Amino acid sequence: MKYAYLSDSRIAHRGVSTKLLGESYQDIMSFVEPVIQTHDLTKHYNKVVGIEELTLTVNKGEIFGFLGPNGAGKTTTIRILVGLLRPTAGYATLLGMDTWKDSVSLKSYLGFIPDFPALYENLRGMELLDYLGRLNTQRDPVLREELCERLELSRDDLDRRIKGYSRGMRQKLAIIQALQHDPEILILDEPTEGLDPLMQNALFQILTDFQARGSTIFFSSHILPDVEKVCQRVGIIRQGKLVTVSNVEELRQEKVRTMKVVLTQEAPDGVFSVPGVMLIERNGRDIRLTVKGDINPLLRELAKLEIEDMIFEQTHLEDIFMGFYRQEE
Amino acid sequence: MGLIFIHTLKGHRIVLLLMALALIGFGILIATSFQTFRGAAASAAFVQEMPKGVSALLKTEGNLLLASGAQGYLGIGFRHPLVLIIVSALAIATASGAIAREIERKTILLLLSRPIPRYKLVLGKMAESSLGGVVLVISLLVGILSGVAIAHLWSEITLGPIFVMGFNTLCLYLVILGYSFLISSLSNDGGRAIMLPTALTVAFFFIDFMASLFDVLKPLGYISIFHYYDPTAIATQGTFPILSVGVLLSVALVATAGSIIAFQRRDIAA
Repeated sequence: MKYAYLSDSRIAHRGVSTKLLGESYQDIMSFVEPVIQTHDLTKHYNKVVGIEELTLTVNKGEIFGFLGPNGAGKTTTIRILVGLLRPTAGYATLLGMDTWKDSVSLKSYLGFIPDFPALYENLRGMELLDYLGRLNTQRDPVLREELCERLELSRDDLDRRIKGYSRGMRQKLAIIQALQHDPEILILDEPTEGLDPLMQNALFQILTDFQARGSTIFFSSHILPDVEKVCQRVGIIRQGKLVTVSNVEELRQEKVRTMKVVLTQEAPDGVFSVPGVMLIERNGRDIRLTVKGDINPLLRELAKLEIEDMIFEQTHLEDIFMGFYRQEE
Repeated sequence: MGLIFIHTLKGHRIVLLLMALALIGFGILIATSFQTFRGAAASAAFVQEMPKGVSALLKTEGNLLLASGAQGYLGIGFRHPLVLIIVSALAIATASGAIAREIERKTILLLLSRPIPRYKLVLGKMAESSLGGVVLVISLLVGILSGVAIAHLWSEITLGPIFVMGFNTLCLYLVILGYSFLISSLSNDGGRAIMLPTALTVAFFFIDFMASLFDVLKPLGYISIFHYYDPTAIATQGTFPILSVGVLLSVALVATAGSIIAFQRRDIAA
């Protein structure tokens, strides 16, 4: 199905030429200007450090992943970007405007999904979209209908009171309220929370469409696979400090996967002596190991054996952080 | 600002309607109950024989009130605890819900991610709350005047002072609203934004009560907002209390400005 509005109409408005859209992401990035910038951004809550000297740049048309465990400072960073918190030191700008001093002006360009979005329970879905849409006096909610269709929120759903909504429906409504006025900058705090895999894919496709039209997206999450799916660059934050900013490809190289293999018979010694592979546990036919970077050399070795079962455990952010800490040390 | 005003009003309409009906009923009751005292002389005797504590509570003014008959009796109605409770409750509840509860529930994030200046958000909500006060005062006046009509007391009252008493009540409402908004603007917790202004209002009432009861505490009375809310004096003297109204409106204005400045500058961290 072709979604007319997101697919074409506002490319010129966004200032991204159609020629650029035909180029690779890297080519585009070399042409465009920074949209989100922070410099030595620091926020203290009395004596507690929220974030510390955070400096990063997100370019126009980029989907930037912002990864970190809960309590790392992601939400603090986002709230400064949205003009809800005043930095203790340093500054943040969106489209060159200071996020605190110019917060009203820049919000015309902004779509924001908070973490665990709270909605007005007594309103109906459509009433909420109308109310929030009308508060944005500069823009009409031109994408509302299309977004409802793509996120499968029917007219009947929208006519119901929000207090009867499931977690997933609330999240869909939160997404639509943020994107319905076709913003240039999207700031999304854990946007996939509560969505089933199908709807997560629908959201990723929507974000990709926004990117193609020149929108800049700041995508905060603690779920690595989500970030890998749509982002080009990733910033990793831990304990209020930016640990690294790297391309997703580089992140994959750093990624340590944990693998469990069950063989039909015990493997001979030395079979797992492959670069990047570390044997964690060996219990007869059951083997648990980690592999960093390219997994193909290991798979080639495994292909020589009779395998009963093989499982990749989900990579946790902490594993990646540990990789970075080892490097720093 | 208009949208915020309408949205907030929509959320409060049922509560406001119920409170307005309660005040209309109370107004009718007060006016019609004057007849049970069998006229001015009997009501004057009733006021004169009140224990000092009850007299301080209702802020009746002894001999001045004796001469005022039905008018003075209606003045006591404006000062009745039920009226004070309803007026204070609406001011405190709407102010708490306007900001602190929005922060507590995190719905404020939806509003503040729109291109609306924070001061407009406060003013929109404050305008709605102020309208609530106007509705309450009008309801009380409607009730009292309906009661006057039912009890055939037109010949015993003058309309001017009745409306001035209503205006004095509105000024009191605006002061409570002002400091409740200020506390709400500084708070992340809806419960605290209810408890603090409630405690403050009770403290003001207590100070005024003690100052009325004991001459030695009389100077303390000036720090209470209730010192400047004296419907019985308006009823008996028939004058416009410029000083009292001026003090109440000034405090309301300062508290409102404080609320706007506090909300403008604060972090939304909850």
